Amino acid sequence: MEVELAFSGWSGIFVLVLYGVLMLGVGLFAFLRNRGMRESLDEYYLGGRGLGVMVLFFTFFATQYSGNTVIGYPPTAYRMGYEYLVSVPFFIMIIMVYLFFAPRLYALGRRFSLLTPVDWIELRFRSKSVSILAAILMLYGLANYLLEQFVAIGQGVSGLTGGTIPYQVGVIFFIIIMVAYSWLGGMRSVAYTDTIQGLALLFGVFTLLIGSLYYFGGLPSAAAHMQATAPEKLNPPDGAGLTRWFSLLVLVGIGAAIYPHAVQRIFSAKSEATLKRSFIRMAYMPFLTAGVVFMVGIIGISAFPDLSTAQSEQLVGMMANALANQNAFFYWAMVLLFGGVIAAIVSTADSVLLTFSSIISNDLYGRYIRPEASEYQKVLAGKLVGLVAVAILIVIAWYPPATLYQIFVLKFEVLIQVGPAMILGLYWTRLNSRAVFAGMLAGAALAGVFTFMGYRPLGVYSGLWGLVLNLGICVIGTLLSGAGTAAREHAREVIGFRYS
Amino acid sequence: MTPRISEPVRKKRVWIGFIVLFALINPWYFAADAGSTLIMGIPLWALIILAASLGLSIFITWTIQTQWRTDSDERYDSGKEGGAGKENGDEHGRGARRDGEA
Repeated sequence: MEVELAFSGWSGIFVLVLYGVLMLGVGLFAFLRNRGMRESLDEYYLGGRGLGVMVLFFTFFATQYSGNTVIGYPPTAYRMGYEYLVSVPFFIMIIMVYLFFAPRLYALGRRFSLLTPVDWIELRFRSKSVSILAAILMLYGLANYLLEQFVAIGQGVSGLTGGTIPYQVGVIFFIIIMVAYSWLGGMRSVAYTDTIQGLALLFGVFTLLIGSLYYFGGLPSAAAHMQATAPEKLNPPDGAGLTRWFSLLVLVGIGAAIYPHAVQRIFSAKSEATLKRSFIRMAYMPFLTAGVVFMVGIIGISAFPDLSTAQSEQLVGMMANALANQNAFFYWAMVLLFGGVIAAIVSTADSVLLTFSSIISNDLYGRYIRPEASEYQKVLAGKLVGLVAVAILIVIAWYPPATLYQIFVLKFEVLIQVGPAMILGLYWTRLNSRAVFAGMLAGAALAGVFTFMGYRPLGVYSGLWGLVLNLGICVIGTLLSGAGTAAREHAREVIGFRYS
Repeated sequence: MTPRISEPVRKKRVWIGFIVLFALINPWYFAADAGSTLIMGIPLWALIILAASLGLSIFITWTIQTQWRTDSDERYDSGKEGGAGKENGDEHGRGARRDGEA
């Protein structure tokens, strides 16, 4: 997603440095306001379970919408036409899927002081093998997710500054800033910066839309162009397109809702009322974000006709360049837009890193390696291991291995395999922990193998095949041999809404 | 009297609503050449999908406001302010967890 913006060399650097200083300031502010914070896991990783509506909303927003939403979606809309309108409902689906587990998970999170998704799985199944497998899958998926964000930061920075800042310098600069403010303020820093980053992104996409409508002509001229050259882009999707639409709705809806960093945000809500209000706002955001960038892509069809696939990837950069040449307002607005895009990538990366560290602190180090450690030591262990992981990922980002590259591609395919344990476990007391373990392992293995082989039966994504196998093993295994009496009694105790 | 605790996942009307709306946000019910009917440059079928999507957002709002009710907020002090000077997170239910493990 490299976008060359030759127009903004020094002004790009100015905005990026300004942005870095602002983020550090936010970290320092969070640190000074909450000095006792580093002593406890709750404070560091969940902001003391005290995030209010506005901040919670933006932190959900920043985990769902990344720089890729702005840079990658318009080119897809450009190539697919109105079939890519699916990007609006699939973001709404995420909130719908939340409603099937968040109400109970929030209540349990409060009752048992859950800190991470693995914490919940451990509480529910009391099985070392299930918990460790879930932790490993999550760490693996999150690490790859982080790697992807690092590469995107480097490309974004070098693109925005027209190569004035090399890729490596961009990555190092933003990673240092990110780690610094995360260490200073934990979840509070991350959530506050998410708020600023979200606002920058929203401002940028709206300016891009307004500028595009004004200078490139609106949707009617795009429609006229499509009618003349590619009428299929105006038509509803046909058979294969319909399957794609359907599986995107299912996959994104389930997948994005059960991302570990998304689940963890449920625990950090100040109250149930706060969580509800944040979800309600999130339900309308797809129209203002995915809908807006979709329109930008459609306008591009008539503004920049006949681009090849590779050229169309640069669409947002081309439009921003053209707008920036109009006048000073759009020039700075486009510089801010790209600052916002990089901000959005950083804000996704910081959330992922924080969740990564929390799983190390709480679920591996704190539970199995040194349970007697103080909370301060646990937080420190998470921070340090997180730092080591970041260092390794930077090396991988610079020297991508020639073979086995796909090992670093698996993210979503692996993360989604924790879903059955997490969600079925909320409602089904008979669910057998051995079946859960076998399903999770087999699902992840199948998804991995299919991805390596590039195998996609029926055009359905490998992660979904893994999930189907995983669910099948969980359900059939449990029906054949349900959990024992003691385990069921424990499950009933945990998931029942009885607070006595 | 309405029950004290209510979860969307246990409500039939929520499931029905979601299934119907899910069916409506998939564009299977249009003619293959539906793209030729345009309103302000937007295909009519796309506007219908957007309207169904908005319907889903509104239904989600209704579900959250009326079908999701637990007693978490009453049980756990939700009005607490930032944790300055707090030693550890034990006040808020961590005790329950520790008891369970002991």
